Amino acid sequence: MCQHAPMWFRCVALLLLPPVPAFADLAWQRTSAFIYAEPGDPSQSVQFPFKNTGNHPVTIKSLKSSCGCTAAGLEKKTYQPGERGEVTARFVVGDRKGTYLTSITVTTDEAGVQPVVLQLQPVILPLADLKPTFVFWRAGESHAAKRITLEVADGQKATEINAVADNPAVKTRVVPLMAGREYAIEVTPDPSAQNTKATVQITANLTPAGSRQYKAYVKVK
Amino acid sequence: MKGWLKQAALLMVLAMLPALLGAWLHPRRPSWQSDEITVTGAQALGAKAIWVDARPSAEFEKAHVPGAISLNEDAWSELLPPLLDVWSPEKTVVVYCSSLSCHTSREVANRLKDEAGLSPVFVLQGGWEAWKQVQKGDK
Amino acid sequence: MTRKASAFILLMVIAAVFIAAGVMKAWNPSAFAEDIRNYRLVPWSANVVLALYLPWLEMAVGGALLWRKTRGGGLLLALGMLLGFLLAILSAWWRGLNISCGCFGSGAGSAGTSSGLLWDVGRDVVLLLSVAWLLFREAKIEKRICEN
Repeated sequence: MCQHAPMWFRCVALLLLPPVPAFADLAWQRTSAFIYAEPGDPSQSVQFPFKNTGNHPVTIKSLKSSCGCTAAGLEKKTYQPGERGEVTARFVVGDRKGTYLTSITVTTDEAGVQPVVLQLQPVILPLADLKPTFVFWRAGESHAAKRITLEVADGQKATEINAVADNPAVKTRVVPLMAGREYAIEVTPDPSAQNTKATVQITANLTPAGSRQYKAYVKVK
Repeated sequence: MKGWLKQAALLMVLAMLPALLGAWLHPRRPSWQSDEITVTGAQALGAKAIWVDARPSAEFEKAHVPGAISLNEDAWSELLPPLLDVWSPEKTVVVYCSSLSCHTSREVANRLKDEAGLSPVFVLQGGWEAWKQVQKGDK
Repeated sequence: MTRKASAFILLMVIAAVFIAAGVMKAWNPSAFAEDIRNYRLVPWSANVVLALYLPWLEMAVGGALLWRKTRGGGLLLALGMLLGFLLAILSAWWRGLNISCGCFGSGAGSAGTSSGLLWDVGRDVVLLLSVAWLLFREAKIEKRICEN
């Protein structure tokens, strides 16, 4: 005789499924979003639209960000049955670099309903990356050239790289390591330079992105 | 049951081999040296410590560790040069943010190590909250 | 579906979960060590040992579940690991630590929330109960084989 899967097994199978938003009435079009930006870009905003699919008005009591870098806003707090709204999440790009994961927890006035977590996944990647951004000579160390490597991101090609120090006691020279993709910026302080500092302004002309500016710092003890 | 325990022991031993290889060869193996420091440990550094406050500028303005320099990812390129001005290889950088569960200090510390090549750089265990606790205890 | 088929499917799912979790963590042990550190339970050197070792143990356990001769030992280890993880996550919850569980690898920063941890606990309890039932079943099968 064929037996059906026991009830407990079916419950286990259901519980192993990925979670869905637990809201009884607010239905979210999405609960996670990516943001793509470069360091220095202005703040980026993303919308999380929802609809009140229930029979009662729902009031959103709070929006709590996991990080000071993310702010959340709403046009109003209470949504009637059938009404649509959206949470706008604003991420401060600033000078951030890399991938981040921040969230906004949305709490409503519905009894027994878990807050919904809206996730923001900012990916902040420079089109060209400098390493290191700081070169240093100790007191007594020989003033031999040190290198800063500039690597151009995939999808971009450098047509011209310029590097200029704001201090005449520091010389710079751009050396292509792989034309269009990788460059070395050689930094050499004057042999007599002491307690000297400089900022090296690097301009990269990239195709298709256009011109980009980067900074590296020099210190000689 | 004895048989199962033997099987479990065998699995545990088998898993050790790739783990040992990983400890030696994995490109993303963790460093054995912790990059965290306690408040007491950081205070013991005295004048050798450069305190870096990774919290938002508004919180830094309200209160901070005496002599600390503000450095956060909102304005990294603007705030980094003053830190580099006071840094030297004899100094130890101690980065803090608000509390034990705040990760901003680690992000700032990693950027100082990876991008600027500074060393040594430590993250203050417990952050600003831990610092305040110790100050209260001292009083 | 028979009870035997249900148990087989459950075994495959649990094996897949363990192997996938192990592979994702083995990819970046440095990030996994940071995740373990967030639980604030053991010193850093222990975090490093766990971060290097646990992913391989998980993969070994997942593989062991697929083979009759090692299934019992694999289930026993799975039970132990799930119990240990549950205690760690409950401990973090109790102390109000805002962390991501690190269950399937990480490295992207933290967005831990109480509802996220609740989901991790729920999933772990379900896996624990499933493994416990499979262990009980395995014991019954072995007893039957011995008696025959």
